[in-house]
Amino acid sequence: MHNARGWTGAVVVPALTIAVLLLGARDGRAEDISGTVMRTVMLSENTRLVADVTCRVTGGPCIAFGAPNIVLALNGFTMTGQADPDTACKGTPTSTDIGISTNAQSNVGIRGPGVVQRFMADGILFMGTTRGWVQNVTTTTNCMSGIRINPTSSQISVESNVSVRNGASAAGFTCGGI
Amino acid sequence: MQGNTNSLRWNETTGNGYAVPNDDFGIGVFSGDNNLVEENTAYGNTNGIIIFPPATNTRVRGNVAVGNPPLQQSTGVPGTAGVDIWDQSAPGATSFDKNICVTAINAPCPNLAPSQVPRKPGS
Repeated sequence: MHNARGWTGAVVVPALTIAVLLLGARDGRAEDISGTVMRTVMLSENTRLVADVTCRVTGGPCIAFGAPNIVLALNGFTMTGQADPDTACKGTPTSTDIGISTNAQSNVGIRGPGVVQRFMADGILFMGTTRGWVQNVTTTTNCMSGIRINPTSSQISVESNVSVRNGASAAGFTCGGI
Repeated sequence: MQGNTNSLRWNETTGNGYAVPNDDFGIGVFSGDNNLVEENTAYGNTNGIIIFPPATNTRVRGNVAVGNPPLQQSTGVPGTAGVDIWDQSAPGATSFDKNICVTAINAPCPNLAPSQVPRKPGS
């Protein structure tokens, strides 16, 4: 995994462009993400997409929170995983291949508009998080649920999202929209 | 949804889940205590809203869950019997109020309210 602050132009993945910007005193520092992601991007501060993102990560989430009290803004762009655009799973889900994981960080948020689609597991997973939120995000064609809150999370607000055509055909994977 | 004291409001869920096995949903409360499902929509999913057995003190109110599953699935796929609202929790563990639905198991349905607001006001 990579800490988002550690990505630079010299890092191995040429298609991934992450620039550190100053957004003004109110928002503090923020990261920009775009292009192809080959290894999990670990967020350490407020972050936004500045173009569509194609995820080629296996064995872990595409984007994971690495600090509390920060926000990921999809900014109107789309994150796309490796599932099939028509059938999503092509068989059994791969439970590690999540679009966005809160990764046990608290008081974190995901802000739309934006699309999270075609991940081999959940599109968005709240895992070990207290006081998280997701707003105005469209999740579609993910192999498990579009948005999932796991048993170790609490006080999560899921508000004004659209969840379409998520789910798994394999036995033992009970899932769906939210 | 699992965990405690979570809220789902003003979400739209459509066309989620596979027909077989018949356990997928638009909105699902797997477990946890004191969760709220309020003013969401669930259309054309394998099941609309499912409250699973371990869930306690769940409040389901003001939702619109209709057309779950779509007609062709409900009549044409053997062994599927999805519904708009399916309460599998212990008796009294879930409260239902002012939801709009057509088919249900262990939940009041239809339960119509003329002032239904399934989405965030102003959105």
